[in-house]
Amino acid sequence: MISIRALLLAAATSVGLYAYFQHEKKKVLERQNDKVLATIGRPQLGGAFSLIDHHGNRVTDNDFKGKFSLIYFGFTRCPDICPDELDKMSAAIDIVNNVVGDVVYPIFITCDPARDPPQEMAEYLEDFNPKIVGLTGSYEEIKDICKKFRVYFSTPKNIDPKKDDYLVDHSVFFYLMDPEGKFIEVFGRNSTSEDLARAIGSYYLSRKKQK
Amino acid sequence: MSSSTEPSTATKVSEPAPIASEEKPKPCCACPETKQARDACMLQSSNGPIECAKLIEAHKKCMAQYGYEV
Repeated sequence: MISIRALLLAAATSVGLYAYFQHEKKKVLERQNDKVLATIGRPQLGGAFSLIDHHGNRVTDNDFKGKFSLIYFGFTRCPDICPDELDKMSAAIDIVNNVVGDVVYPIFITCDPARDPPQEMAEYLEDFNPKIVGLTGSYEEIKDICKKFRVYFSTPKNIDPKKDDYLVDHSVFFYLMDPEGKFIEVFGRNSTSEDLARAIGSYYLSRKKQK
Repeated sequence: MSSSTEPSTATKVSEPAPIASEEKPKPCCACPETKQARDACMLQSSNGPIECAKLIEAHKKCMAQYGYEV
């Protein structure tokens, strides 16, 4: 159900975005100058990490070099925002793959490691784009990467992860990283899947021109 | 209020909300202004937990009005 909706949206949007990208190519060089200016004042987000993916494999930031990354922080028991945002991510990835190619890793990192071991992550991600990689880890590892991305997350005090039904409050942003793992841009809740896809496509074309 | 909040209860007991609203908003949408302010502050600050402490607390208080402990 969810994936069908995402696919339909992707198909409908791909045609329009393809035309947009053709137009975009003409403006890539012009935007280079704008991007240099835009870099000033950008927060230095991201950094090295070592986490466990939803298959149970240990992975690091180096495993995600070579392609862009689109990163979202949430948790599997997130009632409303996370499914919507992961639907958005799923649609954006389909658009990019259709129009530009397989140039981006979609990554979902949990802020609730106590209740989100790899198995829970894998089960949760079955409802979304199969390209999404789920990452979890120890509490300290999750705390470390949240700090590096300046993600706010907190759980109530004195809770028992095994029996309490608690909320995890967390920042809601998409982070776009370049193929070297450097931070490019952040997107808030009001951005659409088309916004995400357009940005990834634009940055990809921009880099292609440089080589 | 006479009833005290019990964070350890599995199912949250519905409390009379201080805000005069029969329908309680979902946690995701309860306090968009304080949440956005806090998240934006955290994103821009290299020492967020300290520099954004007031905004963090403001959001917690707002959520507490609806009975959500975060």
